Amino acid sequence: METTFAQAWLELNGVGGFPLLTLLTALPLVFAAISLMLPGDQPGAHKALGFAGSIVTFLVSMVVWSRFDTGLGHMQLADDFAWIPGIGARWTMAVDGLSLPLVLLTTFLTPLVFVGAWSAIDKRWKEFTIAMLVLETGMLGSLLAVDLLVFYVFWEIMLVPMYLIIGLWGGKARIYATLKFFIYTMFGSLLMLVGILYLYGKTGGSFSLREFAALHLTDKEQLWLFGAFALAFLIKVPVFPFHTWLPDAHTEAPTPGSVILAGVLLKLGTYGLLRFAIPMFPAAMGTFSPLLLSLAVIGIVFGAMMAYVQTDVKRLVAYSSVSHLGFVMLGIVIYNEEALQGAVLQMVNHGLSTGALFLLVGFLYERRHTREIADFGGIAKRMPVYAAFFVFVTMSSIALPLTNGFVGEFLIFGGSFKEGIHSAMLQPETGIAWRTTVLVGVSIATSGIVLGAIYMLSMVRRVFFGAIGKPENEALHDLTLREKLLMSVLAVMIAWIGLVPGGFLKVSEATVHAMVQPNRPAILQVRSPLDYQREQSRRAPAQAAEEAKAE
Amino acid sequence: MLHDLALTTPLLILLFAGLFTLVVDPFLPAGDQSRRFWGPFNAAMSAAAIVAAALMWKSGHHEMQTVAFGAHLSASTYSLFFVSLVSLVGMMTHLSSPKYMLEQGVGYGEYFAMVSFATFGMATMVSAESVITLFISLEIMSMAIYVLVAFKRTSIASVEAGMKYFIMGSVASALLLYGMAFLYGLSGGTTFVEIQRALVTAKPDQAVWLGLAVLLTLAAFLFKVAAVPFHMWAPDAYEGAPTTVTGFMASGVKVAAFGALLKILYAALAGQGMDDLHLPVAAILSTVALVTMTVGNLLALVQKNVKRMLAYSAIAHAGYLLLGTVASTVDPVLGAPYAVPGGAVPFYLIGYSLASLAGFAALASLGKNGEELTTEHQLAGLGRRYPFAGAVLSLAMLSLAGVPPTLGFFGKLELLREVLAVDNAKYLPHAIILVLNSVVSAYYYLRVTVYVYMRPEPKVEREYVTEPSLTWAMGLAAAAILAIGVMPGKAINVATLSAHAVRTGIATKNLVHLRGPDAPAKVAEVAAAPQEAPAAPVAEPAVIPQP
Repeated sequence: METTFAQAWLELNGVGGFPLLTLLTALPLVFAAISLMLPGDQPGAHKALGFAGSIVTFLVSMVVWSRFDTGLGHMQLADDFAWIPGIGARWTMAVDGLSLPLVLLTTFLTPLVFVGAWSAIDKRWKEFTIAMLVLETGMLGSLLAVDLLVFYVFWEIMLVPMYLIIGLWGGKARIYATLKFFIYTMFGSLLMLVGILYLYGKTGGSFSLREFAALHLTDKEQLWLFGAFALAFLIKVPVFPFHTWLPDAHTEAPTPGSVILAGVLLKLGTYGLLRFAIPMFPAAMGTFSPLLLSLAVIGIVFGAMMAYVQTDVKRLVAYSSVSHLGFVMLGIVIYNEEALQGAVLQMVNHGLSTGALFLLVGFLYERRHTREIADFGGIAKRMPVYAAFFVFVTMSSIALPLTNGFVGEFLIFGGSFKEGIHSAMLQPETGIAWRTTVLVGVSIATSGIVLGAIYMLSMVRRVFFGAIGKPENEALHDLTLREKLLMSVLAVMIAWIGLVPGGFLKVSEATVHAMVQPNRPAILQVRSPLDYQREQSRRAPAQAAEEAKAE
Repeated sequence: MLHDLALTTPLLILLFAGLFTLVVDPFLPAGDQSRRFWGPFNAAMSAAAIVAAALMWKSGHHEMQTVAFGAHLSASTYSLFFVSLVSLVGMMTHLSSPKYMLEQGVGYGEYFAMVSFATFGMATMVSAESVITLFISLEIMSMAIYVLVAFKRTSIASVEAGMKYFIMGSVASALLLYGMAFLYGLSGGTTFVEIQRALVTAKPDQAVWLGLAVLLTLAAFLFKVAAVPFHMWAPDAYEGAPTTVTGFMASGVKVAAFGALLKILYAALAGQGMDDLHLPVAAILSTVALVTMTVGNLLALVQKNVKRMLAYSAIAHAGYLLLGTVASTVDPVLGAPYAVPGGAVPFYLIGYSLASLAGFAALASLGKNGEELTTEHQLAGLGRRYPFAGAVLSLAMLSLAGVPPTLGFFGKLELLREVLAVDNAKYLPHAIILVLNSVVSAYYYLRVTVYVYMRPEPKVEREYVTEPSLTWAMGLAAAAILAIGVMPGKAINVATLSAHAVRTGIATKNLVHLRGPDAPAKVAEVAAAPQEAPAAPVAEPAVIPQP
């Protein structure tokens, strides 16, 4: 148990170069500051400014991608400056194959959100622009920080703009929803803060992730600290039973808020587990694996069942998020290369498809000011283009082959079955408990895919097909050019990842490999010791060969 | 003598400001408008006091000869920091007051004189090096504030608040005086140096009296910072007082009281750590802290009036700060076993007082035509009709709730960091209770922003108090909250330096013969000297098999 595995993948590379990542994080803030100085009575200026700011940020993120070395699994393009010398806090940012896909997702979705908000937001554009840009800074900062204090600051900064977005532009029960969102999330993160400071005391004056991960902690400490960190992240994901804030927040949030919330914010929970909680406390992850696996599976099935009984389209999509993030959680808990690759890709996929779904629901809401399924029916006749996009995104959401969702879920299930079946066949007499858990869990989780098809398709049938029952729906007009363009961009991405996933998987491949290297054995040691021995004995010659090659 | 006066320059500037205002005011032409001038004038004098303190800090003067008037006052790094902070509070109060007091119908010159006197009292209190100075300065501060609370004499609430505060405050003064009498009896001296020397070498049979003295002294301070169970006066006094006075009390009195509390705790009573007092002071303080923050937060949840809510929130913050007072480190000069406070409490006080000042300044803009529109519902529409005040008020609330990147977050971070650093995270449960309290507090702070921005505006037109100096006060406080919130390094350093200098040069010199690695033994030697030989050892321990 005392063996720790060097977290080589957290090594910083490229320190001292141009502070590209700091620039990327600060850019939206700069545009927000410009917006703050302009008068508020010209919504057009703020619309343009918000869009321009997010496009510039997107371009800079493309530069980051172009300079990113996919062959290297370690942290790259690092910035490292002294920040608060008195307490040893450093401004450290770096990017790797785990954070880059999510960074790109963030910078890709934000301009789309601004375009989508064009008509969805009808008042206070100045405040909206500022809030959305500050939110982007918060998301990018949380994704790029590899110093726990910097991470925590950005993690909390995200709360305020989201709080305002739901509270200012939301629906009827927005104040209840936004307060619940804020306080629920803050509850989780403040316990994490205590954990961070406890670890800070252990390191003797550093907030660096590398030093935190290198600490020798007792089992009891690991368990409690993992609990504190995981709680913050599980609330954010949200994993059953911490999901109750999500349907409220989504239903009440304006369309742009829902898109960002589902698209990026939720992923920060799963990202946090992968980046912080597991590498710092792998043994505790081993102990908690059965529990987390069960929660993930319950989330998948429960979310799907709840989605099925919703009468509000947006609430349905919100519950589908609970279900889909259950798949991501499943991949994370299994923690082998296939499952992790699937989980990382599925985070991006879910951002694209659920983001697109929320935008589509928003378009409908702007036209009819209702989201009740019962108020629609047969509208495919009046809005054929809209219906086509909706059905396409639905296919992605239920993971039909050739869409992006299929690739991600296939990898997750492949990795999970490998964890359960493959090793069980080799040595059926050992490690029965964990394998049984995995097999039972994965079998139940598979039903989530079927359930997903049921609730999505039944909703699509009731909304789009059949006779037009309501006279109000006769006058619906189809998508405008702006809306078509917006959806086309998203549809292209969905199809692209679905058809040629290789390039996207490549981004995270090396990092996932480097991440599994130290962490999987540490988890296995606790979770299923015999598998650990077997994998070690199999790995030893391979590793020796690798080292020999390196020399 | 001249040297003594030079050391007290910042205090003299504050005193002069108050006296000048009081003497010249009667000769000004009749009518209230001309009295508004006193605001900027006194603010400038407070600023001058800050500059003087900063120059003295820069000159390094404080590191050498620091005590004045026969070791009754000091100008150490410690006191200069706190003097600057209370002067800042005074300055902000002067800036935000003139138009507001005029609108309230009490725009008299005496108001500014009283604020300056109170600031002078606070500044003297944190510079005190003896119980006599401490008591007198506490009374100067308190008397001025009793007057200020009751300043709106046409309002029953204001007069009632002043009366309550006065009576309760007198009890606290009596407690303090009684405690000091015991301290004098034990040590034969009134300066902190003498008291600490006497207590370090106190004999066990003095424990009862020592405990009593410490308890009484602590009780008086717990009263001044409105800690549970001595908090009853605060909500009424905060609600009844004119808004700018409430801001002054909430920030200034808290800064001064904690400045003096840390001083008397570390430089006089518990020099060698809290556990050396024949009384579990650390346990008492940390328990009171937990009760205070929890009671304050729970009661703040149900308040409808923002001023009253902020009163309970101030109680909660007193709880956080009290927990910070037990987070001690080893004295960097004397070494173990001498303890000094960490920088968390002074640093937290910067953030707390700036946020309170910003919040109350924004609330003061609601005081048009003698009204006090400070219930939650009356805030609705503020974000639209007076966006600047709405934004400042919201920022202040976020800072009080401890949301980054505001100064309030780093205050809480530093506090937690130092509390957790004590004895291998001995206070971990306390830290967890503190953050859970923060979650509770987030609800009522956010509710203010809900009313400011998210509730529909009322139909009635509403006017707000606007004037350049009030805008400046809000702007300065808000800018500082954000600027230090982004780059807190410098402020943390200054706060830590000041906290570590809680003992002045003379105190250090007096204790220096007890320093070094064998200090605990020496102290024990001195303490045990007149005693008989230690009691016969207890029965031989059971035989332990040697490996």
